[in-house]
Parts: sequence; structure tokens; C-alpha cells
Amino acid sequence: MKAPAVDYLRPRTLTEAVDLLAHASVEARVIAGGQSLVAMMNLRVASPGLLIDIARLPELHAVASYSDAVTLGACVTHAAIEDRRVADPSRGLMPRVASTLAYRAIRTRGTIGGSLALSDPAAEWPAVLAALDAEVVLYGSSGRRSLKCTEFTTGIFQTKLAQNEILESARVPKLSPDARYGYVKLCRKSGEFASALAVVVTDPRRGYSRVVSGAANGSPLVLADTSRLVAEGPRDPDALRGTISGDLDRASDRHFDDFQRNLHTVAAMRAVQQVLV
Amino acid sequence: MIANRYIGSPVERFEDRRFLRGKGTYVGDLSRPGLLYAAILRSPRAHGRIRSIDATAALALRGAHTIITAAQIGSQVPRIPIRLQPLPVLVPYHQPVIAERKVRYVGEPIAVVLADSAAIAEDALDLIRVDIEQLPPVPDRHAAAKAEALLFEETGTNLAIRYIAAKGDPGRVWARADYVRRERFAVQRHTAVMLEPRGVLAEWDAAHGRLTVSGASKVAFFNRRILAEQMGLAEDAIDMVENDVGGGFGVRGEFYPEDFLIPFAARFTGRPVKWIEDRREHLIAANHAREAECELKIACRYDGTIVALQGDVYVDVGAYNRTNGMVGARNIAQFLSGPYRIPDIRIEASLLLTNKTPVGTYRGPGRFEADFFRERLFDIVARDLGIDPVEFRRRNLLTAAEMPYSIATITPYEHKDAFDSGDYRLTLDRCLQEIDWAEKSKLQGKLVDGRYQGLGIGCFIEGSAAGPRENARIELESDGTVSIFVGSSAVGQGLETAFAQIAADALEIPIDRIRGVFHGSTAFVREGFGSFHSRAVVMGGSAILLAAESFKQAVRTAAARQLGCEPGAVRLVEGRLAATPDGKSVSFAELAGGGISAEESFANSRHAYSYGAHAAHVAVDPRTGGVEVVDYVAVEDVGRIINPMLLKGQMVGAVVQGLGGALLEHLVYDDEGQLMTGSLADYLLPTASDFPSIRAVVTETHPSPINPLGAKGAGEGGVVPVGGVIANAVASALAPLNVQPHELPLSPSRIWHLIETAHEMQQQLRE
Ligand SMILES: Cc1cc2nc3c(=O)[nH]c(=O)nc-3n(C[C@H](O)[C@H](O)[C@H](O)COP(=O)(O)OP(=O)(O)OC[C@H]3O[C@@H](n4cnc5c(N)ncnc54)[C@H](O)[C@@H]3O)c2cc1C
Repeated sequence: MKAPAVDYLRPRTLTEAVDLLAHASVEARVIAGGQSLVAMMNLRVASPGLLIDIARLPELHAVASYSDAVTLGACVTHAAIEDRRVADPSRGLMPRVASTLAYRAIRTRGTIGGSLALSDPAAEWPAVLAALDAEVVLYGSSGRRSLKCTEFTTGIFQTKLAQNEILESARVPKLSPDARYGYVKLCRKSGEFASALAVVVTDPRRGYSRVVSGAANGSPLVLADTSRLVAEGPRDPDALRGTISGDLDRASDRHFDDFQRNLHTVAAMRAVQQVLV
Repeated sequence: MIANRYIGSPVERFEDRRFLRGKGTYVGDLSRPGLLYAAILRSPRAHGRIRSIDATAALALRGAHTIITAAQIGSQVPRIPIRLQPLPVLVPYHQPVIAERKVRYVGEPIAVVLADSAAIAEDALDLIRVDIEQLPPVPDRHAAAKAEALLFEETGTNLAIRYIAAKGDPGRVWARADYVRRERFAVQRHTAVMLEPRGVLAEWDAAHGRLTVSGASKVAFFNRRILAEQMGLAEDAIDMVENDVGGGFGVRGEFYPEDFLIPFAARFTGRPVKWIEDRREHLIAANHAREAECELKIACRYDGTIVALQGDVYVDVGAYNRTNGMVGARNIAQFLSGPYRIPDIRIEASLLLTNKTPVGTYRGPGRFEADFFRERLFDIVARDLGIDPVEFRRRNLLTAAEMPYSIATITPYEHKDAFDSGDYRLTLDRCLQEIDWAEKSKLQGKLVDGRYQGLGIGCFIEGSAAGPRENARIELESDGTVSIFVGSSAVGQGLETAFAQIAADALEIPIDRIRGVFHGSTAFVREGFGSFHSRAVVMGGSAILLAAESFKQAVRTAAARQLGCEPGAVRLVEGRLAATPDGKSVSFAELAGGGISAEESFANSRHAYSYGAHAAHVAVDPRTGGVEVVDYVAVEDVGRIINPMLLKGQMVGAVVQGLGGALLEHLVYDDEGQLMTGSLADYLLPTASDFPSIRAVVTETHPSPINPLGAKGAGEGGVVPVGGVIANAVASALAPLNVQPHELPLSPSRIWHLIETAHEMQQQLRE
């Protein structure tokens, strides 16, 4: 499991990185924490000709707190979020999620931007940031653009990131003090990718509530009816289960088998119950 | 009796001094000038005929040197013989060291690339073009039995062999038995995944015609014999060198294709060659294990006394019969009765060839499977008969008065065996006490915070001390310290520490007078037999005892000569001085000039059986199928405890491996013979955080009568009962839902489906 030979460059600025990416004559890829990309190269399922190392670009480590949101640079690591070394817009949800993501060794290098850019269907950040109604900021040769996370990830390992673009940051709305959230990761052993994920965020003061299923055979799945029901504070578990089932049924393109369907239902039920307690 | 200072105490591991300082030396750490790295092209197909191999592009790659295929090896591609219990009928199924005309599993070596670096070697692999005509694969034992496709056309069958384990005559029992029950069980394919994969470094000294092979482990002397024959060398022209290893578990150290290919490549190129197995390779190239199914029938009296056990076992052995590929199946047959009194037994075990990686032994081979079958069956039977499962076991466990107790004889091979000593009820009682069964059993089947609580128990025996011999030599060094040389090999079990304890006690010297314990490599003793069948401490340790006696005699004789007295009058003082009663003395260092050394061999044809019981408390989430191991207790009686810390470490580690097999690990193949769980992202290995609460308790109530130490093996037992114990605990938890697991692993989806099915059946009954 040795990676094929590859050229490596470490630009000093984000603009330089985008230039390199846009003008490379071979297949170029940025490398952040390398926790997915290096494994893919070692398994020879990815063999880029050029690696552009963005892990130390100061722009991508910038964290800024505004009145309504926090922007997190793409290269903020899972561990920095877990340890609360960066501002937390989510009142504890993101640190809690980070602590369940992979193993500590991987969290010290793996980045939030890398995770979003890759959009592994079983990954936590795409689902959690979708539930938080976050946006990603993409920077490319033709400038900057923002996209809602719910639109950014389009499928299994598929996003709207263009070949010459770098994910610069994520803009995460701040939860109000009244907000509540629930988070459930079902997996077979510690540190493993999820078999089912459910994230619930409800913020009555902002009139916001959303339930998202992750590890859902595609992009994070917003459970629309369940989201509405959560806003009402449902008390009847059977009604809740029925609504979740309805949402999952509508996502027929996900081809859940019986067991997966059950897991997603259980995860969503439990995540919602955390909000109601 | 020898003065005892060290045996029985938790002496800290000497090995850890180098490991904790990063000073351990693994085969991967070795380098040599002019070293070439090997990478192995492995078959991407499960079954096919090789039409052509085109290495032109690969050889053109800068830094790639040589490519070896069957063509380079010569007209006769060597085959790997069977180490344990070879039989002529198995010869057709011996694995060739490289695929010749056919490939029979995904992962079978087709070519070896030698290059300046491992990365270049892998680049070159990608450039080799192999044309394989696909043949219909035999993906499982059912297809093997149908024999529509054959792995070996020349034998006309996919059934390699059938073993029969027999005792008494169960045939006469069935018609008039009080109670008979039939069940079918299955264990999934899984295997040892050591922290450090395998590796070989070979050096050919053309001037002297000598070969040195590093990375040897487990059975270096046996492997040297195979290699010598395959390479046309004298055995003593080869040195096998043992290095530190990151785990063995039965899988490391057997003779694999690479154990020929790398030495051959070194001689072929005249340069040192190194190959280090990578993780993905390990999962398709190293021995698999444990895939077995059974159909059993048991007869009991109404009071729970077992009368007879009969049945068929089907073992999927993969594409070839490797060095120890039969052991698992024969052990299932012979040890299905476990530590229990069963007068009439007949078990037939069929070994079926399939297009999958060949199997070999993995810690507790066959016993893990057999224990799952039996202990699960016992709980089902006890429930039928309305007898408490603990009581059912106690009634049938063997007692001290019955020792030695003859077990089923296995044929072919006519292997007769008997348990040596013990009272098997003692460990059961101790286990119940340690887990507080009386109190905890009240929880069985109760829902606590949405999870069903369950308790499971299982008993086991562990075979050990395989013969024929082991050798040890003790030498006096010039500074008066002693060195121990032994034919046993280290596979991470703390051998140096255990042997130093035994030697220090036997020599009546402080342990720090032992300069080192040297093991495993072929240069250290005339002949060695290595580490398998939990034999190292029993066999190597006994050899050290014998060598120590001779050594002390030699010291006394030499001292007597210098001091002018009778050897019998010489007293040895603290491993430093040999003294006469009237106060004259000579130091060990002074005596060393005369060259004092003693080598002895301990021979043994019987087996020592350790035994014990495990119990688990689990919580099962009926909605997700998830199992949490809340508490786990392992009790084992090993006859004589050399080092309780090492022993408990072995047990806890083995339990974790067993939990992996019970709950997580599964080598899944599809119908084409492709491995679907080929990386650690899919092949789930247990980690410490998954199973934090495991307790080990060790006892030594019944020393083994068959060796001077009284010791019994302790490396494997901890894994043996785990599958059965966990499955019983899950069954106990889900008793209200009427769920009876019959298959491992108990994955969340399996448990969930069992619950769903039981639920549907109950509804149908109601309607
Ligand atoms: C054993 C193991 C277990 C894991 N378990 C989990 C888990 O449970 N949950 C989970 O979510 N993840 C898990 N991961 C993945 C881990 O979180 C990765 O760190 C993460 O998915 C990728 O982040 P990275 O910074 O390492 O990205 P890299 O590996 O460096 O890159 C990944 C991909 O994203 C691209 N990329 C990276 N950054 C950017 C950017 N800023 N702009 C554009 N493209 C970019 C790269 O070009 C590459 O294609 C696990 C990984 C391992 C090895």
C-alpha cells in the first residue's frame, strides 16, 4: 500500500493555491488533513499527478465570529472543534459531533473542509452542517461564491465544487439560547463510520427546525415533515414514527433495505427525543 | 523441588524495556546494502486459467529490476507440504508457491516484482498484464459439494478429506433416548489480524552458498526443512532468524508462498530482498479461519445427563490445504464434547475446497467453533428440559476422579487422546462467583433503559503441549552470567520473561544473573519445535528445567575439580559462587573459562489440558440490534501459573479477539469469490474502547502430571468459549422475544432480523 509517485507543492496563499489548481497540466488535487486522500492514494483508488498542500494556509484557519454566525476556515481540524479551540456557533453540538468522528489520531489532522469537500455519505459534517443550515464559501479562479450545505452535497462523494475551486470556509448560523439539538450516531464500533446518523436542530426564536438523516445512501437527507412536526413539539411517539417513516418512504431513490430503514427511523426518533426532553 | 522465587509472581516483562523505548526490531526495520523490495502480483480472479503474463511494460519502468513468475522458477514449481498431520490423500491440494496454470483464489501469487523501492514495485505491478480465462467459481461449501466446478479436475472432487471423531457407539442410543434434539449452527470466516503484518528479508551468500532468512517465527526449524528441500540446499546452509513480532495468533510463521518466493528471489538476483505484507494483502493472503457449519443431534436423559452426541460438520477450507489447514476441522470434531462427560460420540467433519483464501490455524483453532456449537446447543437443551443452564453444565462436567479421561479418537490418523487432570466444576463455580451470577441472573430478560439484559456462560478446555520435543541449552558466559537458548519462538507472549523466571528458579540464581533468553532462530539450538498449540512454556520451560539440572551438575563438577572436593559437596551461592562446606569458593566467572554448557531435550507425547469457564453480562438494544458487553469474566486453571500478569494479559487479549469473532469480524465473499471486506474499514476489528470491562481470573488447582513444571498451555484458551458465551447471553437477554441465535457474528442486522422473524412467527401463531 504505497502511493504512486506524485508531485507536491505548498503554496503560500489561497490565491496561489487556486492558480496552481487551475493551471496544472496533470490531475491536481488539494490535500488538507490527508486522512482520506492519502488512504485513497495508498489503496491506489486515487492517483493525482500533483498535490497542492493547503493544510497550513492561514486563510483556511481563520475563524470569525459575527452577530449571527461563525465562519470556520476549511482547515480547522476536527480536534480543534472537539477541544473548543475555535468559536462554537452551535452551543456544543459541533464539539459533541467531533468527539464521535473517527479516532483522535485522525481528528488531529482531518479537517472540516476536507470532510465537506469529500462528502462521504457516512460522514458527520455534511449532515450536521446541513442541519445547522450552514453555507460553504467556495473560492476559485472566477471568485467567491456561497452555497447552502443542503445544496452543496449532491450525492455519494458528489458536490458542486468545481475543479478549480477550493472550499474556503463554512458559515454556520449561531444558535440562540433557546435552541435545542439532538444527535445520534449508530455504528458498530467506536471510531467507525456511521451506519445511521440523525441530527435535529430546533431554534424557536429563529423559527427554525430541521431533522437530517446522514449515512443515507446519498447526500444528507432532510426529513421535511418530521422537521415541521418537531417545531410543534410532538408528544406522541407513534405519530412521530409515522412521520419519519413517511419521510423515509418518499426518499425511494435511497434504496434502503429493511434494516437500514429501521436504523434511520430509530436514529431519528432518538435524536428527536433528545430535543423534547 | 527447586527453590521458588520467581515462578508465580508478576515479574514485569523484560521485552517491554526495548518495546517501550522504541528499540524493538521488526523485520520491517531491517535494511541491507543493495536491498531490493518485492511486491507480489495477486490474482484478481477467484478461479481461472492463466493464458499469458506480459511484464514488458513493468520491466521498462525505471527502478524495476526483475519479475519472477512460475516460468522463472523452473519446470517443477515447489508445493508447500502439510506440517501438522500430513496424509497422502491431501497431496493434490498442496499449494504451489506461485500460480502455474490455474488461479484458485483472489490473492494467489502470480508474479513477484523486485524494485528499488516498495512504491516502484507497486507501480510495476500495475503495469503487468495478466490474461486470465475465467472459470466458474466455487464460492461456498454447497457449490463445493455439488462439484459442478472443480478446483482440481484431476481428483474429481472438492471434498479434500473427511475426519471422523468417534467414541463408543451413539448409533444404539437414539431410539430409546429420553430426549433428542437436532440443531444447526454456523460460524463465519474470520482470522487473526496482527498489528504487524508478515514480512521476510532474505540474503544469499553466493560465495559460501548460504541463505539467511529474517522474519522467521513460530516454527522456524520446520520451515527451514521445507525451504532447504525446495531450494535444493542443505538444512544447515540456511539460517532462519527470528525478530520481534507484533503478534502471531497462529497465522504468522506458517510456511506461505512468500517464504519460498523471497529467498528464491534473493538467490535469483544475488541481492538481498525484502517483502513486507500490507494490510490489504494480509486480508487475502494470510490464512483465513473458522468458517464452519454443523448439524448436530444430542441425546439426554430427562435429568439432563448427556448420553450421546452425533453430527456432521462442514468446513470451508478455501482453495488449498495449507500447512495446518486441517487442524480447525479435526479439532471441531475431536473437541466438540469439550470438558463434558459424553459416553457416545460420532462426528464427521468434511473439508470442502472453495475458491477462497486457504485456511489455517487461528488461536483456539476449531475449539472456538466447537464451543459455540456446543454451548449454544446446551442452553437450548437445558431450556427444553426445564433445567437451569448452569446446573445442566455442572451435571455433565468432568471431575478429578475421572482423570485421565479419554476423548473421541480421530481418524484418519487414529489419534487417541485423554484429558490429563483437573476438576472442571471448580472453574465453573469460581466464574459464577466472580460475576455474581446469583444476583445478576435476576436481570435476565429484563428491559433496563430500553435494553434487554442477558447473562451467558460457557465452559471450555484448551489443548496444549504438542510434542515431540523441545530443546534448551544453558551457557555460562565469561562474566559469570548465564544465557538461555531455546527452540521455542516468541510471538508476543512474553516468552523471555517467563523463561527467565523458570530458569532463575531452576538454577537457583537471581533473575538478573540471566543475561538473555535467546529463542526462535535456528542458530541457537540443534533442533527446535517452536510455538503453536500453546506449547512454548510447557515444552520449552520443561526443557529449561532439565537443562538447568545438567547445568548445575556441570558447574559443580567443574568447581569440584578446582576446589578439590566431591561435586556433591559443592554449594551454589546466588548464581555467583560455587563453595565447599569449609568455605573455599570459586566464582562463576572463573569457572566460565572452562566453557560450561548444558543442552537437554524434553520429550512428550501427551497433551496437557487447561480448562475454565467464562461468563458475560450483555445489554441488547432490540431496536438497533446492538450488543454492549457490560461485564465479562474469564476463569482458567492452567495447572501452574508462571507469571499471573502475562497470563491475564493473554486471557484478556484472547477474550477481545473472541469478542471480535462473536460480534464484529467477518470475511465476506460474494458469489464470484471476491472478498467484500478487504480493508479495516469493512473488516471490523475490536479495540480497547469497544470492550472495556473484561476480567481475568487464574487458578492452579490441578498441576499437569505430564511435565515437570505441572504447567498447561495458556495462550489460546481465552478465545475458545467467547462465541458461545456471548450468543448465550444474547439469547438470555432476548428470551422474552423468543430469539435463539444459531450463527455468528451477532451483528446488529442479524440480531434485528432474528427479533423481527421471531415477532412475525409469534403473530402468526396468534392469528
Ligand atoms: C480510520 C478512519 C476513520 C474515519 N472515520 C470517520 C468518521 O467516522 N466520520 C467522518 O466524517 N470521517 C471519518 N474519517 C474521515 C476523516 O474525517 C477525514 O479527515 C475527512 O473526511 C477528510 O478530511 P481531510 O482534511 O483529511 O481531507 P483530505 O484527505 O486531505 O482530502 C479529502 C478530499 O477532499 C479534498 N479537499 C480537502 N480539503 C479541501 C478544500 N478545502 N477544498 C476543496 N477540496 C478539498 C481533497 O482534494 C480530497 O479529494 C475517517 C478516516 C479514517 C482514516
